[in-house]
Amino acid sequence: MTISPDDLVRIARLAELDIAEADLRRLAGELEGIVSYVGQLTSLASADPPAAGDPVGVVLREDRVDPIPLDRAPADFAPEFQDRFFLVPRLPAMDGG
Amino acid sequence: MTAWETVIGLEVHVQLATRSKLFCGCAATFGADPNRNVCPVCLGLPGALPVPNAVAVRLGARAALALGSTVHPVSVFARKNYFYPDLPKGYQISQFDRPLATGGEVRCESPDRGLVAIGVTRLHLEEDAGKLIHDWVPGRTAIDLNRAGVPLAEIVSEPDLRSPTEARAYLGVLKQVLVYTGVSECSMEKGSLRVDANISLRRPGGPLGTKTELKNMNSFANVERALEIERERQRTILDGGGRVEQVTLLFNADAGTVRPMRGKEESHDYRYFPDPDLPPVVLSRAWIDAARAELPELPEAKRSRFQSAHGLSPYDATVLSAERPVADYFEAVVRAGADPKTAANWVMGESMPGYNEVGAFAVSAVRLAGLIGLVKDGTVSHPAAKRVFGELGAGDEAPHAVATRLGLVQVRDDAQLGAWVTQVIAEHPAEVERFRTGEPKLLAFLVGQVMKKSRGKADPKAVSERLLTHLEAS
Repeated sequence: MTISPDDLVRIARLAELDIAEADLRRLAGELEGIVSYVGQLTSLASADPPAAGDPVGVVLREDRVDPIPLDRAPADFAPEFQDRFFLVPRLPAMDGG
Repeated sequence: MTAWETVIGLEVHVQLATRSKLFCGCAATFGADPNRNVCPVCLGLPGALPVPNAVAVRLGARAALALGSTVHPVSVFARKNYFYPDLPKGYQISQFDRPLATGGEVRCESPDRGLVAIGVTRLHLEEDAGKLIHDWVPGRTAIDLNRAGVPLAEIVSEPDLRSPTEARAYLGVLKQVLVYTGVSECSMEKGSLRVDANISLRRPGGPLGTKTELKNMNSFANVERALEIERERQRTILDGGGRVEQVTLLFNADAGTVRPMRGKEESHDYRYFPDPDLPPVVLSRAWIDAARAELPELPEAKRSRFQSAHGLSPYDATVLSAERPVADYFEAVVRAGADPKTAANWVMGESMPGYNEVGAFAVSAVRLAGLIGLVKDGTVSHPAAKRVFGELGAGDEAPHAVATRLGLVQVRDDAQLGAWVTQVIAEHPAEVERFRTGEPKLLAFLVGQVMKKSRGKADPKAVSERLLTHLEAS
C-alpha cells in the first residue's frame, strides 16, 4: 500500500495533528512501512466471530446502579472545572456543533 | 417543469429505558447535577473496561423484534473514532458492520399514499455522548458527562419516505411502538428521542439525488417543518440549474431556517474497528425467542382486535389503542362487566381528560364498570352518573354509595311517580290541553316538570311512560 504526502495530510487532519511540510515525505514513508508491516496479518487465516451460543461472547452485567467510585473528585483532576462542569477552550470547529 | 420527487430517510436515536449506563454502573437518569453520574469507565480513564448492560441488549432486541427486524445471533461493538470534547475516550462505542439487527418495517398512514410500509435498514446499540454548553463561560465550552455512556438504540430507516408529512407519521408510529414495548420513554423534551433526517430530490423514478442531513429538531412538528424548508431550498437550487451540496444542516426553529454545520464526513473517516475490549455479543436462538415472547400486543394488532372483538369503530379503536395504559384500562373496564361500546364512550369522554392531564386514571376500572352498571340497570340517570364519576376520583367510596349520598338514585317507586305525575298534570292544564290537541313536544315539557319536582331523582323513562298513560287515559 502506497501512502502519499496528500494521504498523510488527510490522516493528520483527521487526527487533529499539525505536521510541517518538510516532514511530510519522511513521515509518509515511515507510515507506509508500518502499514505494510501490519498488512502481513492479512496473509493469516482468520475465523469469523463465534457462532450463536458460543461461550466466548461478551459477558453482560445486570442493570444495576453501582458505579465504580472515582479516587479523586473531577475538580481535582480536571484542568479546569467550574460549577460542576469541565471546561475546555472553545474551538472554532465547535461552531454550530 | 417536471416535478421533483422527495426522498427522505430518518435516523432515530432513542434512549433505552435502563437504570444504568450501557457499559458502567452509573445511573442513566435525566436531570442529575452536572457530572454527578460519572465513573472511570464513562470518563474514559486509563485502565477502565466496559461491560455491556444486559437490559440494554434486551431492550434493543425487543425494539428490533417489534419492528419485524432480524436480531442477529452475533453482533459486534466497534469504536467510532472522532475527536470532540463530548467524547472522553476519543471514540464512541457503537456498532458498525455487524449491528444487533437488520431489516423490518414501520407501517404508517401517508396522507398521499395511504398505508405505506417504510423499511428499517438496521438497529444498532451505541453509547451517548456528553452535553456541551458553548460560551456559558466566555471563550470556554462547558462539559457535562452525565449523558456520556447512556444506552441508545439507533434506528435507521430506508429512504422510503416521500414527504415531510410521511416522515412525521413514521415517527409517530415508531414512537408508539417503542413506548408500548417499554423500550424507551421517547421524550424529545428530555432528549430521549432524537431525529436526524436525510433528504434529497430526484426526478420520479430516477437515480437518487445528493442528500443533505438535518439536525437539531426538537419536536416531530419541527422535523416536518425543517424537511419542508429544506425541500424548498433544494427545489430552488435544482430548478435554477444548480447542484445540491452534501452538507449537514442545523435547523433553527425560531428563524425557520437551516444553515450548514460542517462538511459531511464519510463513514470511513471514523476509522471504525471492533472494540478490542468487547468480545462479540452472542445471543442464542432461545434468548432471541424469549425476547420475542416478551413482546406485548402491538398497537396495530390491538387496534384491529378492538374492532373485531369489541365491535368498536375504527376511530374509537384508534383512540383507545394509542397508548398502552389507556388500552389496558379500557379492557379492564370491559373485563369488569361493562359493555365495550359503553365503556369506550366513558373512557374517552370522562376518564381520558384526567389521564391526559396527570398521566393516571383517578377512577379504577372496576369502579367505572360499577358506575356503568348503575346506569344500565336504571339506578342512576346518565347525567347523574357523570356527577357520581366526578366524585369517585376523590376517594374509595363505591359508586352506589356516592349516588345515594348525593341523592341521585332514581326513584322508580310507582306510588311516588304517580303522585308527581298527577300533581304536574293538575298544575299545567294549558300544556296538557295542547298536548292532547296535537302538540306531542309538550310531553318533554311535562317530563321536565316532573323531573324538577323530583329534584332529578325520578327515572325520566318511567316518568314519560306514566305521563303518557295518564294523558291518554283521561
